[in-house]
Amino acid sequence: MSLSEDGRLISQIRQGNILALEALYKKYKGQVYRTALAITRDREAAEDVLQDCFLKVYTHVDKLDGSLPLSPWLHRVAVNLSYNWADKRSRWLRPLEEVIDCLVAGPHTLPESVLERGELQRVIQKAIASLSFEHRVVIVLFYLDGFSLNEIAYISDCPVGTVKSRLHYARRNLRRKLERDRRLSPEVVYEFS
Amino acid sequence: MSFRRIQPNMERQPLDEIDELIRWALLDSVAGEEPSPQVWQDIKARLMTRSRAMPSQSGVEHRWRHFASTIQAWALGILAPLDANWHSRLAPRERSYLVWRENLLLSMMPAAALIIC
Repeated sequence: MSLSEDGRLISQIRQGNILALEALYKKYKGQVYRTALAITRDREAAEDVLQDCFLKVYTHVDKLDGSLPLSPWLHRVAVNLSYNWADKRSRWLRPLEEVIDCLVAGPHTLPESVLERGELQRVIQKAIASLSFEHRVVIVLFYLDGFSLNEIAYISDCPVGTVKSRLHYARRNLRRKLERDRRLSPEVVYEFS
Repeated sequence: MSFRRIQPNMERQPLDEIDELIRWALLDSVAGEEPSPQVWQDIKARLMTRSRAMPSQSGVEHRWRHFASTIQAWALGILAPLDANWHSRLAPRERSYLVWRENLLLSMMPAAALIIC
């Protein structure tokens, strides 16, 4: 489906055509859902985000520019909704979750010989989950969705310089966490210009 | 200052071990994940409910908004001279009449609703 097809669907939604909204939903549901899932790590929350996201498409359709790509706008809404969810959740649940994590977590220095692929993945995912919301969003949008820095700046509603900075520090934090767990070789020095 | 090595192009070879690991872990964590079909049903149901519950903008709502703004302008017009007079006489801490003005405006709303009915 081309970009102009999105524009055509948007103009049909403006006339109250729910089938056009369904076509847009089918096109973007997977991408938006997986992004929300990667950010929230909660299937139910990701589905709520997806649902609210497309309700907003319908209610704010007059503000949408059919000539622009819809994906960044959808992700911008999804990130905002995920932020609201995370904000509410952190007030009530995170302290309890942290206590449980501490109680069930194993020692951090397991010998490498016992590390398996699944374990390594779990460690990386946990490291990503431990990042701040802003850093996690940038990591997900950059590595999972493949958005450009400019697109991430639009989605996150911040300057490109801030995106670069967040990406740099998020990546550095992840590297340090993985190095601390001896799952990664020493850091390669990056060039800056 | 800018990155020279990180590129968003997913087709490129991983630039560093950390990039490869992050991408791999993220892609794998959501691989095959799809929303349940119920999500679209819920969206549709909410849109249907909303469209049934809301009269058209050009009908009752439009008339109500117009009437409410007229009442508001009328009330503010009456209160403006009083406002200026009291404002000059009262000390800052005594300006609770502003609260009374708000209450007066609020109390006029049911009367306006009755007139419409």
